[in-house]
Amino acid sequence: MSTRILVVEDQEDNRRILRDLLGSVGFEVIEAVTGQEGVRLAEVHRPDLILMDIQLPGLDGYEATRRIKANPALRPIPIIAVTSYALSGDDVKAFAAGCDAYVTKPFSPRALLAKIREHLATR
Amino acid sequence: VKIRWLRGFSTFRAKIFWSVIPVILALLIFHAFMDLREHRRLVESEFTKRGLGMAASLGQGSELGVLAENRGLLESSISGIVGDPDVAYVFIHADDGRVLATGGKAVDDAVAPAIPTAGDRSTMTRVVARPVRIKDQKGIEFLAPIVSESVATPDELLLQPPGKAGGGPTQRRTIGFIRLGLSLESVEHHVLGLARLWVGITAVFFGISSVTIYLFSNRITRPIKQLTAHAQKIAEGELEQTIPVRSRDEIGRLGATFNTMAGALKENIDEKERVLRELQELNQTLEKRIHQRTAELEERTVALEDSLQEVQTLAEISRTVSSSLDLRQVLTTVAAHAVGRASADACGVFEFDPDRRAFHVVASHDLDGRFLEELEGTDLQPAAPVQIPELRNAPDARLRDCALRAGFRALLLVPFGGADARHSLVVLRRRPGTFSERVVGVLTALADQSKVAIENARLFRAVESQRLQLEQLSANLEHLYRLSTALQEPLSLRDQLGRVLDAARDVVRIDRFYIWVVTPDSEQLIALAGAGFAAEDARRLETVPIPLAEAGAMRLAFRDGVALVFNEGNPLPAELRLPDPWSSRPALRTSRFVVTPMIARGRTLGVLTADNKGSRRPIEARTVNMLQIFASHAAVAIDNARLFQEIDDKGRQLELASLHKSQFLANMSHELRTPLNAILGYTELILDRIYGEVPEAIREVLGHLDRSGRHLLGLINDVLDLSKIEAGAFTLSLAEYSMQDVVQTVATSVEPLAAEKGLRLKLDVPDDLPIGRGDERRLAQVLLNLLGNAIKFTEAGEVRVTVRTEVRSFRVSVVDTGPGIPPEHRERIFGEFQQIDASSTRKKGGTGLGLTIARRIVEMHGGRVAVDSVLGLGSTFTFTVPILVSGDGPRA
Repeated sequence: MSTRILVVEDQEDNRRILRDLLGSVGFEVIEAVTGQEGVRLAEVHRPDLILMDIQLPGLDGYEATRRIKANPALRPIPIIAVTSYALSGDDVKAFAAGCDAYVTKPFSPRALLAKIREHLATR
Repeated sequence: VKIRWLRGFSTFRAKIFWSVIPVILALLIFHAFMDLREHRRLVESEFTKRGLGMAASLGQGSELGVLAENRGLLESSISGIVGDPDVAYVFIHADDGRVLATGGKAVDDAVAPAIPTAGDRSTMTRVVARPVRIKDQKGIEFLAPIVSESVATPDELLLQPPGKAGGGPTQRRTIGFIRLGLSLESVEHHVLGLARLWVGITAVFFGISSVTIYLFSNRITRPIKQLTAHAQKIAEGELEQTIPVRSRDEIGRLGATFNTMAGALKENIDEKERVLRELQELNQTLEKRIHQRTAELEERTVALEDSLQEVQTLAEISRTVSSSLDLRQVLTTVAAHAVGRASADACGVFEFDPDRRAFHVVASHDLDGRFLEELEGTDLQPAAPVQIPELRNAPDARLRDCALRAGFRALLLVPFGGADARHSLVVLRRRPGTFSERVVGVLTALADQSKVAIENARLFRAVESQRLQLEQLSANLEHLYRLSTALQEPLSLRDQLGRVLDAARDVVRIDRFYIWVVTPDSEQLIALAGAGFAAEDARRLETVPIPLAEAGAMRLAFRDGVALVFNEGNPLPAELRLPDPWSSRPALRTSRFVVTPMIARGRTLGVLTADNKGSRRPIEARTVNMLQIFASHAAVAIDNARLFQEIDDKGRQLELASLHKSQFLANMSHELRTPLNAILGYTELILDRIYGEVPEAIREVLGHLDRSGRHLLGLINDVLDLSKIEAGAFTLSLAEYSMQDVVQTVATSVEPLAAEKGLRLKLDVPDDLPIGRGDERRLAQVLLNLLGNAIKFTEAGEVRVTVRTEVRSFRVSVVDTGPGIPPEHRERIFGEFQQIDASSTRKKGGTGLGLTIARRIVEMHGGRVAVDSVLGLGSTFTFTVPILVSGDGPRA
């Protein structure tokens, strides 16, 4: 079974980049546009890893992460926060919400892929 | 023999001697030993050969004698060899061991004949040798068989195969044997002689080498000794010494150096001596002068003592006069003295009143009141002492009558007080007669003292009154000062002014105050604060502004900037009265009223009004002065308060604006990052061939796109950092870090840039740096910025990073060989958006924010950034940060 990654991201361009990047290495990509959808798809598909944008309309990334991590069945899934807020303290907030890693936009697809592999390996 | 120069091992010469002699001795002894051994071996082998020969020939020669067992025959063959001095003994034995013949000088000492066994003998075909002891001396015993051979024919001999010749027992037979003992005494003797020779040689060599070493070491040490001796002399102060420099080797050079040193020392000492001589001369001169001065001083002291005595005498006389400031008492004393001195009966001191042209008595002695009453008003004012020896003949009838009535017959009057003399000392006597010159003189002196006393008293009164005035003034000023400082206190302005006015009422002698300020449109006067008014009146005044146009006297004072004073005799004119409803209020009407403008920084802010309605005291000039001072203080206070208010408002507005700006920048940074993510992300994916092969031309363009995007990201990050710094949101996250790692990481990341430009990147980082505490990411940012700049601006050469530890600080320097920074720009480059010139910004890129941020980060760590540069040679940027930044240390 191929590795399944859930991308929660409201920007089409960013979703496409992640889709193309992850698809190119053979990962299966599931996409969610809102936080609610992200939580729902996480429950349905049980992905191997979640890339979580923080600035989402409605339910934001922190809250979506908290809800996913609150579900014991989903808790072991690593969540990498992807945010364009580079203010100090954002990383702290992300970790407090339960994220396992933190990446700021703009990210290098290559570096992000390395980070994803690192978390998949230590899962 | 105790040789002098071998004393001790410490002299140079002894060291040479003791290091060479053992080697020579050892060599000699070794050589002698080897030679002796070899010699002995040679002699012994020669000896052995000889012995073998002798034994063999004796064996052959004895064959017949043995066969015949003829002793005589045998002895004669022995006698041929016993003459040899080395032969100790000879025994000829029969085959069965019997001794057939003996010979030799040591036959008796020969060891018991070791007869060879029959078996030995049968195999004994040649001579054998074995060591023996003969008379405790070494010897060799040769054992030779005596063989009898039946003569074989030559044919038989020829037919015998080789090797079997003489082997047949039938042809050869051992019939006996010979023991020949040779003494090695002569060999030993010979060796002993040789050994003696070697001892001699060794002694001679030893002697020769000792002498050679002595001479050689002498040659070496002599110049050193000379140097030492000279150096000692120089040390003892004989600086004229010069060391003869003969050789050009190290010692010669040392000598020359000593000479130079001695020369320099001599100059130095000469100079010191010269200075010392000068100092001594100066000292002598000074001493002379001091003597001279001392003598002068003594003379003066004597003169001063004389003067002092004179002064003391004078002082004693006038002491009573100046001891008391009570003029009457002083003059009474003077009068009493005058009576005593003049041998008179009474005395009085009179003052002349120029207005009434009459005398009145100031002090008297033994004068009754009635006489004084009668005398009062007498017109008598001479310029010089006058005496009337017989009052019966006095020209002034009034004086004559009253004096005669009182029983006085003579009078002396001494005026005093200078040209406009107003006082006189009058002495009266019941006996007629002239007062002597001496008495006149004494009284004149007393009069002079009285003059001093009177003057003192006058001065004292004047001083006292001035002192009181000053005290009053000082008290008032202090009060005013306290009031003024109270105006600076941070209370609400209205309350403050009210309190101050209340406190000021007593000082300036005013019943009621009010401060009026003009509205910003200069249309109305508003009552700001007051004192002394009934609460209801105050409330009314404060709630209703007075239009300036109708404000009467207040308007005038406000307009003209002068104080107006109205008193009972100087009432407020009708046209300057306030209109209704104010003037109709009885509480406000008064005829004792002041209005003072309040001026600060050249602007009239309002007026201060004051009145004395309650006490009906007139308004004094002094009060007006104080009110003006007070009004100006109050004006300044009001002005300051308004300024503070203004500044406070501006500050709040600025703070808000700054907050908005920071929020805007943060938002903008976010909004810019999102599309930038797409740009950079797609670019990287394309370059990574996610979407298939990319033609080279497009790859190159994408490379530019990537760089530009990253540059834009750098700009956004810098702007964000700066906005955080400005908003105070920039904080350090402190943790332990390794400065080595920071330098290494940063160097690794800029290495490609340096390599691209052909620059050498050098790191000078000690291995033993301590672990630091600080914000590792931020410090790396600082170093990255400095290093990035250095690489960016350097076209050729190298860029070097040096880390050192100072007292509790890391000192990190980035040195480049770039164009350098002109001195006038060195501070400016740390400012925001600054590069040396606009063209360089275009050429080199960068926001010009990096250094500002770097400096801020370093300062937040409690460190400093500095730049040093030489135009055309390069620049050095150095920052120091405390190794351990404490948690409550410097922050944004």
